[in-house]
Amino acid sequence: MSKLVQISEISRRDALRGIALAIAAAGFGVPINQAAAQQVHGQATAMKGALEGYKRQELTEHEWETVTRLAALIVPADEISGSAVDAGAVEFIDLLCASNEDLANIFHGGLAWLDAEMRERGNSTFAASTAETQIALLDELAAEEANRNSRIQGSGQGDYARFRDYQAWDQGDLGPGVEFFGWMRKLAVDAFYTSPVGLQDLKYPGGRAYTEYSVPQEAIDYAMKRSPFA
Amino acid sequence: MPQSNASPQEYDAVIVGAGAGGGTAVRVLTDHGMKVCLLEAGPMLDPTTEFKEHQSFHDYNHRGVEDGGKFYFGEGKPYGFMTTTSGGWTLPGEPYTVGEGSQFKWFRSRIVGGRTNHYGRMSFRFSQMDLKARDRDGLGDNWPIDYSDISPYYDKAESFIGVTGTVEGIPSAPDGIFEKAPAPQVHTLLAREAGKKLGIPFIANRRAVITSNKNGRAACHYCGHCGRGCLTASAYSASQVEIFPALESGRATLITGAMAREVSVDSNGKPNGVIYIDRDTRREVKISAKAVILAASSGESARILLNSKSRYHPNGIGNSSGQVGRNLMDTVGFGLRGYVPYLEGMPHYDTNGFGGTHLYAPWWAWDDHEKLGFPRGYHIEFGGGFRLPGPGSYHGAAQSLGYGAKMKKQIREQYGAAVSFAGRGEMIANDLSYCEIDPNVVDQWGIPVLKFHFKWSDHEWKQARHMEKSFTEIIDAMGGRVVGLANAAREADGISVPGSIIHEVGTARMGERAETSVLNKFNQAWDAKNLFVVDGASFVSNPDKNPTLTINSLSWRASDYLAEEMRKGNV
Repeated sequence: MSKLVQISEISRRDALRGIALAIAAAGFGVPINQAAAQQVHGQATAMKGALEGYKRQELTEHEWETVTRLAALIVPADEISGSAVDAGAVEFIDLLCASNEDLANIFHGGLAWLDAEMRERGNSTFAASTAETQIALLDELAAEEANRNSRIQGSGQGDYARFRDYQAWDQGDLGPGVEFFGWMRKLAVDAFYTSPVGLQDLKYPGGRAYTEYSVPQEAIDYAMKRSPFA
Repeated sequence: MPQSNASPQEYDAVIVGAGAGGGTAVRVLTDHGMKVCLLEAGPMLDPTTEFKEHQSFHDYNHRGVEDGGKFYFGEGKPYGFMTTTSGGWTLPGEPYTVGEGSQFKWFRSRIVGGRTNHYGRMSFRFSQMDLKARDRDGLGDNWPIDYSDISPYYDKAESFIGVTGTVEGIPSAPDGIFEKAPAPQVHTLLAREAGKKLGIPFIANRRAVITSNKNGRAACHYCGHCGRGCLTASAYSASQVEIFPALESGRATLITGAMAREVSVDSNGKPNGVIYIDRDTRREVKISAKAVILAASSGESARILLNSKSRYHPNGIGNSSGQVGRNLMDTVGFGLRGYVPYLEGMPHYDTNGFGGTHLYAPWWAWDDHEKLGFPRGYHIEFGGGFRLPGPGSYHGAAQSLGYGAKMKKQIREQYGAAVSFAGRGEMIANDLSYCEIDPNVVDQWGIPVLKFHFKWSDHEWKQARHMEKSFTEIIDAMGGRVVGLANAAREADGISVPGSIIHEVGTARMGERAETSVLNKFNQAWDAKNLFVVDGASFVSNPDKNPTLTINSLSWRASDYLAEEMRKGNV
């Protein structure tokens, strides 16, 4: 594959130079050349400011600490890549909560519930509890969620049935925790996979520009050999 | 309401709407030397600020979920933050209504270039079978034109815009003048193999993207982000490819923020311009012109015609047949997602390509409709590969996988092994699907709004079930398994929500006779020689060929005709 420019990773300055070269090689008019160049340049500037030196706005210090722990448990660092915390999930959640009261209340309330549940179990706050007890609670929440989903799926056809049955059920003591865990995980997962850390984890191969598009033979061979068409 | 301001000059033509139809018309008419005024309800487009083509989600602190996480509350931009849409399913202060028992979604774009800034760019020619489908099954109506009438204009439009493809000789999918098509990705090759077993032809996709340099536009650089708007104009948009050059000619005047209300008429009832409301000042302005061309989208053009009431045209101008607003059609949509386990572990490569699917399947069973039990066909589009993750990409996976190291590992392993297939099929016009003026509601500009009525019939429902069967068979043959609906929000009922495919057409159809149609075969109103409608409203039927290329071609043809008629003094 004739790789020319990698636009979204590594170096924006190289990208700018590369795309300008590509466009010049294409014998391409000046106005759009400038437009493309300006955009890449604008991004390079924006990247510098993004989240660096972020100041906590909505969450309390204790809530921030709890969200940090939760994000690290939901998408932990491993041998391939960093965690959701490394990907900016805590700042992301605080930032969104700061400009949306409904979301802020979901997080304030959910975090308070987590602490209360932990205390009820004879521990300290969620953040101050041992990793074992933290994981034990999240496992319970995930299991309850899965249990609920399978009951819903087994109960009828289509989205409407799902909605109706969901309403009808007693969610049990863990209900609010399952709800909040769902929110926390959605935002942590999004923060992770929209970050350079997440793209690196998946080895996202895009964000590039080419003079010609081609598909590597090794990929074709890999799939075809394993396919029913081999 | 402040007093009406008449424009100081008379134009040769005023065009309402700067999308595919209006963009083509302004370019062709200015090429003919005509002085044209182009009205657009939205603002001017600045690609450098509006198009987010090469941006990353992490360029934004909100990562694409928008301020306050609008995305999580269903309030984000339609098709995501990065898409270059101005407008959407709802517009503040500009409602539309839906009749009891009906469902209809109306996507309105308000910006120079309209929906062409971000559309899918599938560009398929109608065939002679499509244009005369009634001759085959007795349903709907025939077009007043033959393939030989429109074919030269498909040639022109394809040559000018640039459409990829390969010459195949398939009767349902006439060949055109094609840009070189990019190589098929692995998942599309697998689908092609499955198609061979099932008798479904997968051929190079036909998209309005140039793969060689053309008219100052650079060849596609295969970033795959056509839907965000293309800074290099390699993907066609009416704004960059037609309107900006027309403005440079010096013969076109663009007025943005102009909400057209009605076609004005002289003391003989003959159109003499357009009255619009200026969005900034809320003042009423009249543009005088020798000819009036509506290209405001099927819904908006019908709305303008119906709202242009006078003693000469008591039911709205162009509506002596009563056909304005009738024959409303959308495209039938249905899709399935699949998972192909053996793709796990495949070497990663850039699957973005030129944005859309690199292969597609044109309708293959045009001679089998009697046996199939439904009258018209569909084509298949599909997706797969190593997609750019965005907000929501892994909500579903995370929910089924729990959390933690195991979830993270499994998402990584499953990356690139998902496929999806979507059908886009022909709907047949019916009496229950139409729009009219709501007698009780106006928008914030004081303009009466549209009320939609819509019903799919059994024809469409059965076609959608055939899509389901075909996609299941393809996924099975590929060695994969069906996972679920491709678009559960849109197709939970087993067929797309009416209007949601955004191919609404037919509300001012052309025809052979003034009694049963709004326009003649040159998109010219039967009721007024100097009134034209050049958007999808003119469609007699809505074949499974996404409408834009045909809008481009018919608008070009109508513009040539208008220029010639004006030269002859007939208009």
